Amino acid sequence: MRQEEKGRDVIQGTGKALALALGVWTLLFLSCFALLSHMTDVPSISLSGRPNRERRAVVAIRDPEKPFMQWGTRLFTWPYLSRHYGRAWLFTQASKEDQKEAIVAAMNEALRSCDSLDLFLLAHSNSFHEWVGILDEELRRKKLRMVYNTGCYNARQGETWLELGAKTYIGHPGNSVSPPFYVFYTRRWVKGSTVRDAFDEGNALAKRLFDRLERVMPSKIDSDKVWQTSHAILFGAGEMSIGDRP
Amino acid sequence: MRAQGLVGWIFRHSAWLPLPLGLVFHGVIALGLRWVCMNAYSENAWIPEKWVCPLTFALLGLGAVLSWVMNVEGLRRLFRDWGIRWVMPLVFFLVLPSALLAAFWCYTLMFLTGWA
Repeated sequence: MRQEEKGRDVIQGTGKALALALGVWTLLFLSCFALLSHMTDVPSISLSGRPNRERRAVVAIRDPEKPFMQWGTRLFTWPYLSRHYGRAWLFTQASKEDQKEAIVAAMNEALRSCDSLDLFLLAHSNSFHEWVGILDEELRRKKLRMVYNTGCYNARQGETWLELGAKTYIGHPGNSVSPPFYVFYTRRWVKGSTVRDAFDEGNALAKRLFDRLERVMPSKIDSDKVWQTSHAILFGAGEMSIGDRP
Repeated sequence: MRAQGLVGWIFRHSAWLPLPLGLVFHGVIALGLRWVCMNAYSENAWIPEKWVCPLTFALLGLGAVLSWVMNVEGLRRLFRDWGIRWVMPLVFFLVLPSALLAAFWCYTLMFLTGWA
């Protein structure tokens, strides 16, 4: 009898300890989650899709880089693009001219089958405008919509892209650290912000990140210097959002 | 409430076991992530691209679950045996890091899958 009571006490004690553990874990987890969000970017969960998903297409190109970088690009980029665009292609190149025919064919198909085409050029200094230049002129002038280019010094291509038909183009002016802007901008763009809003927030958050890094590693990072070459520059219209037709 | 079998045996024999077990699990997951990365995008890559995201997200999800298990088990032991000598080390070396790791895996998972 005594043994049974003792056994019951142990079970009850264990149950209490488990309940307390789960409660404390929840608080700890939420604190850590808030800390991570504060350090990186605030979650904004949205289950509803943007309108006209089936009518828009996107082509993203990742140029040759270390496997780790290419892996990271795919992990971050592909879920967003495949969820928010009716047709999505992401090409990971092994060399500069790698998959040129397939990339041009994908752009052609996108222009023929959808109302709009966005491009994400996730590459070092590049000349992809030459590949786009060989596409059907009428279609690209009508349907090429937003082009984002991470390449160093590729802000200078702004006018060229607008002449090719892009309604808006975003590039960086110097030897840039573009990934922070790309992450902040893309998350807002696919969730329905206008180009202008996503662009402004992307720039502000990238600057905040550089400032924080400078505070942590003052001898390694000069935030203002990095900012001069890495801030994004917007060309063309900034009022459209992902759900709009060009 | 008692865990059964081999896992139960391991857990009953040392209050510290969640710590080395957690380290081993996270080490294995980190190696798994590296394996996916190298076999997807190195010169002799053979993992098809369409498998890169699912494999990676499965490993990250496993990391989140294991961190959670280690964390809750560490806390449960802490509250069950409150007052014994290893309480403070357990808090600093097991509970806080694993809560941070669990949040890190979850946040990374949400961030990368586009949910956050």
